[in-house]
Amino acid sequence: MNLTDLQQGKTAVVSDVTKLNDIVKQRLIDMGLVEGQEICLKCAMPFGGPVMVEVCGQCLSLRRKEASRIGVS
Amino acid sequence: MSQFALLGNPNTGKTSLFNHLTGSYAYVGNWSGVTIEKKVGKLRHQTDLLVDLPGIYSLNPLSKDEEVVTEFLLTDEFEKILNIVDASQLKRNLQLTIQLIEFGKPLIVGLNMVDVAQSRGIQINEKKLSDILGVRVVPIIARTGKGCDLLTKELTSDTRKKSPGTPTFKVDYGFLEEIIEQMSELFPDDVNLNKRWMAVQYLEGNKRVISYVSQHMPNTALLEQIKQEVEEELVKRGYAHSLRQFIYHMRDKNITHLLEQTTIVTSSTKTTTTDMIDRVVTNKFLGLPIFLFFMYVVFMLTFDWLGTPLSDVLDGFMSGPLTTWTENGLHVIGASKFIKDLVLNGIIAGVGGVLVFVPQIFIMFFLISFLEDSGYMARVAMVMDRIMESIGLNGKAFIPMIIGFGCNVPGIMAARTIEQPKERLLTILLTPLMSCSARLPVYALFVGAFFVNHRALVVLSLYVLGIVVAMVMARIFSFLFLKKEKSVFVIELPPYRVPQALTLWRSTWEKGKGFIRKAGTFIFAGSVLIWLLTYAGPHGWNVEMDDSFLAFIGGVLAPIFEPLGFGTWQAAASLLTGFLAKEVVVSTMNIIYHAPDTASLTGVLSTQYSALSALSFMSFILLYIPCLATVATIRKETASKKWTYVSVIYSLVIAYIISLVIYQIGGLFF
Amino acid sequence: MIVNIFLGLIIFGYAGWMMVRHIKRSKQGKCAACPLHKSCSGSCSETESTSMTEMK
Ligand SMILES: Nc1nc2c(ncn2[C@@H]2O[C@H](COP(=O)(O)OP(=O)(O)OP(=O)(O)O)[C@@H](O)[C@H]2O)c(=O)[nH]1
Ligand SMILES: [Mg+2]
Repeated sequence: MNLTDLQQGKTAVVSDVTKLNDIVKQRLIDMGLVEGQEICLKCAMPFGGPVMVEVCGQCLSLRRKEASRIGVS
Repeated sequence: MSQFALLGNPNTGKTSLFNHLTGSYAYVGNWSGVTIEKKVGKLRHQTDLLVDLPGIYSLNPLSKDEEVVTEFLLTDEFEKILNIVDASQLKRNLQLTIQLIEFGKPLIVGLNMVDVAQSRGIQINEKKLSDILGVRVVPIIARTGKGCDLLTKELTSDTRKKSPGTPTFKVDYGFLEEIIEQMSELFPDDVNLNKRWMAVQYLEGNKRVISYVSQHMPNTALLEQIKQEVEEELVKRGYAHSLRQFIYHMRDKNITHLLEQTTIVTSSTKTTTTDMIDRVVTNKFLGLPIFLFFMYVVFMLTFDWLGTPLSDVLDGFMSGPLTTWTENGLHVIGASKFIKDLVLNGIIAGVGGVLVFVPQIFIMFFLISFLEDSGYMARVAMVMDRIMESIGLNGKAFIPMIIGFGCNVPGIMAARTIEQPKERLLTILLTPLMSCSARLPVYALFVGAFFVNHRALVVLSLYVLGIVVAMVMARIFSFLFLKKEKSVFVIELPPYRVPQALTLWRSTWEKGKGFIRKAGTFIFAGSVLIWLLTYAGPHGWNVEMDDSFLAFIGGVLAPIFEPLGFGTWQAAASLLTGFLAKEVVVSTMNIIYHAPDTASLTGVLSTQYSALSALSFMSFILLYIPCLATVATIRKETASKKWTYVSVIYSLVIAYIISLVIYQIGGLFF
Repeated sequence: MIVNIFLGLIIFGYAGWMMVRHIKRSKQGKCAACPLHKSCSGSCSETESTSMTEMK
C-alpha cells in the first residue's frame, strides 16, 4: 500500500522511501519522513495536485506522484 | 572582536533572534527560506559580530541558499556557533546539531520556541540535555526576546578560555568508525577543519566537502575507493539504503536515546488552531477561491476602501497648503522665477506627485507582510502547485512572485530556495512580470482618471495580466530551451502564528521606507533633471514645453508607440525615465503636464488618452522592462549576461505585443 | 541674487549627487534593496561566486 491509498485523516507507518526521486528523498528525510515514522494524510488538492501530510507533528506538502512512491503499512 | 555564526533549521527563529541581539530589522517571516543570504550585525553593547545565515536541514546543500551556509562554514573565520533549535521539533533539529558538534568548533545551543513546545505538552530538561551534549543549552523565546540576555552573556563570556564551549557528545557510527579513522589520516594537514567531520561528510556525499577535499588533495582516488567499499559492505550487511541513510539512522538512534532521557511529552491529541484553519484554507475545493478572494480584498483595501481616500487627503495637502506655503516662502526670500519654477513645477510636482501614493503603498506592504508572517504563504505555494506544475514550475516559485509584488529585487533573490536550477532560472526571469509597488502609482493615477468606478477591478486585472503572461512565458521558455530537468516540490507548512503588531509594523515600514527614501533622493533628482529638460530646449531657456529637449527626445520615440495608442512625446519620455525607477513615470507626467495636483492631472490626461489607450499604456508599464536595480540583480543571481539580455528583451517584446493587441482589438469594440 | 545662486547650487548639487548615487546603488542590485545595507558589513556580493555557477 502506498501513501495515496490512505484515506484522508488516517494514520499509517512509513515502510519504504527507496523509490523516491533523490532530491525529494533527501528533503523528506531531512524533514523527518523516514521509515518507521507515523504519517497522516491530511488532505489532497484537486486535479492530481499535491497532498498534505503530517509527520512528527509537522505538516508537509509533496506531489501526489511522489506520495505514491512512499510505501506505508 | 570575534564573530559568531547563527545556524539552524529553517524557520526556527534565527533571524528573530538576530534582530533581538543586534538591534537590526532583518526580514522575518513564517515560512522556510526567508533568509537567503549571509547578514552580519554587531551585538548590542558589544564589539562582537553575529552572522545570520539561511536555514538548513543538513550541511549537504541542495539549493543555493543552503550553499551559502556550507560555503561559510568552510571558508569563513568565526569563533563560535550559535545553533538555534526548535524545541517543538527537537528530534529533527538535533540531526543538524550533531553535524555541527562534529564540526568541532565551540557551540552553544539556543533552545528556541519553548513557548510552542510547552503548549504542545513537551517538557525539556535543558540541564540534562546540556550535560549529555556537553554544550551550553539556553532556553529562549526569540519572538519576545526572553532569555536573549543570558544568551549574549554565554556567547561573549568564555571566548578566551576555549574549552568549556567545545562539545563532547559523539555519535558512534558502528563499523564506520574504523573507516572514518582511516580516512582522517589521509586528509592533508594544512586543512584546518575537523578531520572526523570531513570524513563523515565525505561519506554522506556532501558535494561541497568532496570538492573542497579535492581542491586540497592532489589525489582522491583512494578516498573514493574507500567510500565505494563501504557502500558494498553495507549491502553485504543487508542494509538496503544508501550510506547517507545509514549515517542518518545512526544519528537518529542516538537522538532517540537522548530524547528519552531529557524530554517528557504529555501530549494531548486535540485539534490545534492550525488544523482548523487548514481545514478551510487548504480545502480541496475552497483553497484556490479563498486565495483569490484574499487577493481581491487586498486590492479593494488598497485602491478602494482605504487607500484612495487617504491618498486624496494627502493630495489635497500637497497641492493646497504645502504649495502655498512654499510659494510664499520663496517670495519672501526673493527667489527668482527660475528657482520658483524649479521648486514648484519641478520638485513639488514630481516628488509630491509620487508621495501622494504612500498610503496605498503602505497598505499593500502591510497586507503582504501579514501574508508572510501568518504562515499562509507556504499554503499558497501548495494550493498553486498544480497550476505551476502544468507550466513547468513548482508551487515554491509562487513565493518569489508574491514577494515580487512588493519589490522585484528581493523576489528574484528569494528564488534561491528553489532546488532545481532550471526552475530557479525560470522563476528569476518571470518575477519581473509581477507588478511591483513602484508601478502602483501609475495605475492609481490612470484608474483615477478613467475608471473611477472600477478602480480595484481594473488594477486587479492588471496584476492578473502579469501573472498570466508569466505563466504563458514559463510554458514557452520551458518548451524552448529548458526542458531537461525534472520538477520537484516539497515544502514545509509551518503552524499559523498570529503576527505580532510590532513585527508587522516593522516589516511594513522596512519595505515602505525605501519608497519614501527614494522620493527624497532619486525621484527628487529625476524630477530636477526632467524639469530642466522641459525648461531648456535647443533654442534656449524657458522655452515652450513642446520645443524642449524632452519633447525632442520623446518625439523621436513617439512614432513607435503610435500603434499602441499613446504615440505622444510625453508618453515616450515618461517611459524612458521609467527604466531607472518606475515611480519616475508619474513624476515625469506631473511635470510634463504642469499639473499642480492629481485632480488636475487626471483632467489633462483625459484629453490625451482614451480609456482604451490608458489601459494599453498601463499594460505597457506593467510589462515593458525591469527597472535598473532588477536588471542588476538578475545579472548577479544568474551570473549570466545572456539571461540578463533575454529578460530585458523578451519583456519589451511581450509588452509591445500585448499593448498592441489590447489597443487594436479593443478598438474594434469601443 | 545670492539667494538664488545658493538655492540653485544646493538643488542641482543635491540632485546630481543623488542621481549618481542611485545609479551606482542600482547597479549593485540586491544590496540596495536589503534593509540592512547600512549596518551589514558582510558584503552581499561575496556569495556571488557561489550563485549559480552551473547555470551559465
Ligand atoms: N511562538 C514563537 N514563535 C517564534 C519564536 N521565534 C520565532 N518565531 C516565529 O517563527 C517565524 C520564523 O522566524 P524567523 O526568525 O524568520 O526564522 P528563521 O530561522 O530566520 O527562518 P529562515 O530564515 O527561513 O531559515 C516567525 O514567524 C517568528 O515570529 C518563538 O520563540 N516562539
Ligand atoms: Mg532567517
